[in-house]
Amino acid sequence: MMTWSIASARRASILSFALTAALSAAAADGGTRETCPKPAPNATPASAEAQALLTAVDIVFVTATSRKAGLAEQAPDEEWADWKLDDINRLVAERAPKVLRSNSLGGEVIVLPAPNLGDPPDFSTLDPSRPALVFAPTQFSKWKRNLLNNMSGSLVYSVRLINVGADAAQMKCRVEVWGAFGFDPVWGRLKTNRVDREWVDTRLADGLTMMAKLGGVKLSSDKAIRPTE
Amino acid sequence: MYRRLFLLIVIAAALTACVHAPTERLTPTSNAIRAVRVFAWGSDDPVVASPAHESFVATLQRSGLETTQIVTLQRPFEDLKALERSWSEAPAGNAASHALVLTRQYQQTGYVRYEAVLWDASSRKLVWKGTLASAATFDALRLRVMPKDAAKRAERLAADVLRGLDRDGLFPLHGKVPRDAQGEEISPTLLPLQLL
Repeated sequence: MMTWSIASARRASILSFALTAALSAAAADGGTRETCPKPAPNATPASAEAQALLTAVDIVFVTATSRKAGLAEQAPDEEWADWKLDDINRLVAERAPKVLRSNSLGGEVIVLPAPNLGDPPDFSTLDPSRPALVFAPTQFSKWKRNLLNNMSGSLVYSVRLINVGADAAQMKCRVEVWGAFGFDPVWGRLKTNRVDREWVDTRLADGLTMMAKLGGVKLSSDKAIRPTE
Repeated sequence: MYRRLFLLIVIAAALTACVHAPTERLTPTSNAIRAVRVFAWGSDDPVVASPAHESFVATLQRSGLETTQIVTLQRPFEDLKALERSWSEAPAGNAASHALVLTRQYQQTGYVRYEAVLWDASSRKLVWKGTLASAATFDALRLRVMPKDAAKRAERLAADVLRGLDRDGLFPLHGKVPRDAQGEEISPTLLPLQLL
C-alpha cells in the first residue's frame, strides 16, 4: 500500500511537472506587453465607441535587421542565422493570410524593407484608405543568463493600427509583442527557440488579440485563433 | 572536501566575474590628439542629448582632452563618408584633430551599449574603437531609459573613453584618474563577463 502510494505520488508529481513544463514551454518563446490602462469590467473599450471594429485589416510587417548603428566594422551576428531570423519575412507572407482567415478577417499581407538606421519605417507605399496592423521591430537583444547557459535573445515588435480614419481614437499607449530565441528558460539545453511557423503564428495572433482587446479589430473570441493548417 | 569548496569558489567567481568593456586600436597612428569634435547619436537616449552630453564633454576636458564642438546627430552616421561630410561643415577656426563619435547601439540586461570611435582627420581613418556600456534605469516596461541619472552616466562614459584611450596609448592620462563635476574620482564601468 505504502509502495503504491509513493509510486503514484511520484508518478503524479512527474506528470504535474511535465505538464507545468509543457505549458511554460509553450509560453517561453515570447509574449506581449503594453502600457494601456486596464478597462473597467464590462466597460466598452473607448476606441470601440469611436469606430466600428475592423473586419478586414492588412498586416504590414517591417523587416528586422541585425545591423547596429556604428562606424566600426561589425562582425555578422553569430546567432542571427542559427535562430533563422531571415525566415521571418517568408513565413509571415505564408502564414499571415492563414491567421487572418482563421479569425474570419479579410486583408492582405505586406512586407516592408528595413528602414535606414534611426529612421521610422516608410509607409508611403501603403494605400491610405486600407486599415493596416503594423508590426515594426524596435529591439533585438541578446544575453546570457550566466556563463553556463547558451545565448538567449528576443525581438520586440511594436504593434499599432494605421489608416483607421481621422475620426478614430488614436492609441495613447504602446503595445508590443516579442519573440524569444535561443536558450529556453524551461527546457534549458534540450530546446533552442528559433523562428518557425509556430513562432510567426504566435506573434501575429498575439498582435490581433491585443488589438481586439483595445477595441480595434473584431474577433469571435477573446483570443485570436492560430491556424491549424 | 577542499577540492569541492575550491571548485565552488571557481564557479562562483566565473559567474560573477566583471571586466572592462573592450577597447582596441584599429589603425596604427602617430598623430597626437590636439582636440576632438564630438558627434553623438542616441535616438531618444538622454545621455547623448543636452544637457547630459555637456557633462560628457566636461569630463573629457577635466582630464585635458580638449573638445572644440559637440554635435548631436539626427540620425547615426551611415558610413565614414557621412562623418567626413559633417567634419567638413565645421565652423572656421576649428582646431580639432580628431572626431570622437559616440553612438548608442542596443540595450542589454540593465545596460545601454555604445560604440565610441576615434577618427583621425589627417589620415581619414578610424584609429580606435571602444564598445562601451552604461548601467541605466529603465521604465517599467524596460523600453525607455529614464533621464534622471543621465548626467552621471555621461560622465562615466567619458571616463571609460579616457581610460580606453590611455590604455591603448592614444591619450596618456599620466596616472591621473578621471573626475566628475564634484571632483570625485569616477570608477571604471565593469561588465559581467557573460554580457561581452
